[in-house]
Amino acid sequence: MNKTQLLNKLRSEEYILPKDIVSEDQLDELAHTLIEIFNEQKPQLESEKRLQQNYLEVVNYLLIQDLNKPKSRRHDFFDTSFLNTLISLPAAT
Amino acid sequence: MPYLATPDWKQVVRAKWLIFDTDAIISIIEFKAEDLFNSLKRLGCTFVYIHPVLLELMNTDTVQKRLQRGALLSEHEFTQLNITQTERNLSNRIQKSLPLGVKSKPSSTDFYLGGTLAKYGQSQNAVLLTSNTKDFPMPIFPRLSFINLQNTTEVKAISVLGVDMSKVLE
Repeated sequence: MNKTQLLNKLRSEEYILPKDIVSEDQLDELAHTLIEIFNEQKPQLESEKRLQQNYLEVVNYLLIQDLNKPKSRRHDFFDTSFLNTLISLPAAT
Repeated sequence: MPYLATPDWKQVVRAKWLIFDTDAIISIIEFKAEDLFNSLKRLGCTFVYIHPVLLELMNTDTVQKRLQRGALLSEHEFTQLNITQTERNLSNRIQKSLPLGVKSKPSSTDFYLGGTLAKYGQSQNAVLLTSNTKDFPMPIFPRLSFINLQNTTEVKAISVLGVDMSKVLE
C-alpha cells in the first residue's frame, strides 16, 4: 500500500483491521509511511477527526505489535519525541 | 499487624522483575510520575506485564490515552510474559485458597497476575506492583513495601507484593 492509498484508508474507514493494512514483513515500511504522512499532513491530522483517530490507532497497533516481540527482535519504529508529539496533538473534533 | 513498618522500597525492588498490574501503570501516569520508571530502571529492575493487563490498558475511551499507554510500555522496554498452563494452574490454586469472607472480587486478570507472580517469584526474584490490595489479600500476598505517589492534594500507594505459596492449597 503506497502513501496515498494509506491516507485514503485512514480517512475513509471507521475501523481499520490490521490485516487490511499490513503484513508482518511490511511493518517497517508502514511506520516509515506514517512518519511521512505526519510530516506532510500535520494540519489535516490536527483537524480531521477520523484521520487523526485512525492514524493514532495504527501507530499504537505498531507499538503493540513490537511489544509482543522479544527485545532483541523489536523494530523500535518511532522515537520518543515523535510519540510525545502525537500524544499531545489536540483532539480533532 | 494494623500498622506498617516496611523497608525502603528501593531495597525491596532492586534488580527484581516487576510485574505490573494495570492500575499501577495507570496510577503512575495519572500522578505524572513517569520518572519513577527511570528510577526503577537505575535499580536494575526489569518491567514485565501479561497480555490481560495490556488489554485492560487499551480498554480506555480515547485513542490518545491508548497511544500514551502503548508508548509508555514501549519507551520503558516492558516485556510481555506469556501465560502458560503452569500460570493457569497456579492461578486456580490461588483462587481456591483465598481467605473466606474476602470483600473483593478479583478478576481473571488478577488471578493470572497471581499465578505469574507464583511462577516467577522464586526463580526470577519477581514482585507484583499494584495499587489495589483488595484483590491480592494477605497472607497469600505479603506486602513487602510501598511506593507512595503524590500530587498537591492526594497520596496513593503502589504496593509491592510477594507471594507465599505455603498459604496456597496443593
